[in-house]
Amino acid sequence: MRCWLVVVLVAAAGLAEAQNVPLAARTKGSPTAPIVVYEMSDFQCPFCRRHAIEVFPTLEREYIRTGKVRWVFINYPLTSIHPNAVPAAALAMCAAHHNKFWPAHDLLFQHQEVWAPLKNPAPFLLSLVDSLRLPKAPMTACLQRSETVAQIKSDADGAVKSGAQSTPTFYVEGALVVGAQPPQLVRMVLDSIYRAKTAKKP
Amino acid sequence: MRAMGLGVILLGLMACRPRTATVRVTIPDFDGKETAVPQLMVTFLPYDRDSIVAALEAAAPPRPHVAALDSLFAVFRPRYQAAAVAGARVEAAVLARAELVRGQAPAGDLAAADAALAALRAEQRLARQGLDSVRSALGPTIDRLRREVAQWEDSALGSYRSIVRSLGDRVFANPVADTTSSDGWASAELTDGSWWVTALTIDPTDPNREWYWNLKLDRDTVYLSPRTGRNRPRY
Repeated sequence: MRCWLVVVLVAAAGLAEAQNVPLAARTKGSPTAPIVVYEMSDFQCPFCRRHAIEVFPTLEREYIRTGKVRWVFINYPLTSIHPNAVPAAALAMCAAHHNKFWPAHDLLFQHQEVWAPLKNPAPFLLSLVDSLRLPKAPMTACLQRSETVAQIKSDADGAVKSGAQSTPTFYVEGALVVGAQPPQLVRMVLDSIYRAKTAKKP
Repeated sequence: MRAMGLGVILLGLMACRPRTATVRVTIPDFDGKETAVPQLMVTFLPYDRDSIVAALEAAAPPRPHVAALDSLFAVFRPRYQAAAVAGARVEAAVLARAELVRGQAPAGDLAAADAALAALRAEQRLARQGLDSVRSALGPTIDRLRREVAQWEDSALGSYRSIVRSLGDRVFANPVADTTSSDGWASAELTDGSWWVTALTIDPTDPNREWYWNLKLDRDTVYLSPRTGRNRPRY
């Protein structure tokens, strides 16, 4: 796999535009956490899956639950290579209205290899509505609303403006971290920022 | 590590990012002229299918009936080509006669064209009869042997699907397909990593042969032509 030596400085304005969606419903961690991480992710991207399944649980335990980091999910579906990414994101966004964004996020990534290659993923995605114990009629209505897709596109536009070109990309306090990184590398980054932000000034 | 401020540099390793790959498919027609192949499915694979097939074939008993099918194809080929050439000649003569009519040619020219056309149609009938006879004589045997080859393929290559599925999982990519345009072009948005492009089309000059390509995508535009492909028997 080709390495990406990508360094992009971003202006916060890019991500701020993505915040017209209910960010709180897809945010984990304390509102007063000193570090905010925006994860720009595509539910059909295998590397995003790797991050979600192999790395994120560790980060959640060590940084989010301990109040060090607030984690925000931003949709960045790469529609040219992942045709089912938007329907999957729509499911998660609609689940967010019922405070189940994160369970939907987890299920989508867990079952990615099932729905990703499907020509029509809708029936399988609707079966996840049942698995998540979400009300079927409001979810179906939400999935059919054009506003849902518009919100996802707004997220993606914000991600592009922030400088993201691939997924997953993490906007961490002024820098972009590109790609699914091993926990030890993310730890180094978060620890160094945390130390810098919480150090007592002389 | 020093504390990060704005603009700290980090390395990105494993990410999804689209890139565009373009291919053009051309094969020789009856006159040997390289012609674009429209409406052909071209598949981009994140693995080398040939190496998998070769490994599976090496572990299996030899493909059956290769020599028998080769000799049957050799008998069939000249009859098919004779019929195809005769058909093309009739078609050309029909077009030429239509030109004469359109140009209000003298009656003598038209009569000569009609006679030539009649002679070519007679040749075509003979060629077709020859093809039909060889088809009815050899067809059932070819079909039977092909069915047995298909059974061998099912057995020898049975684990191909599970292998490529696990390879796809390992490289985090799925196959992508496109259909060639009227001028033979196809393209796909691919994620990073190694990709191969594969395509298969029947040789228009011999229905028992096919053009096959399996090329590593080492640049953004790749030409699937006689120079880069293989013309092989259709067992």
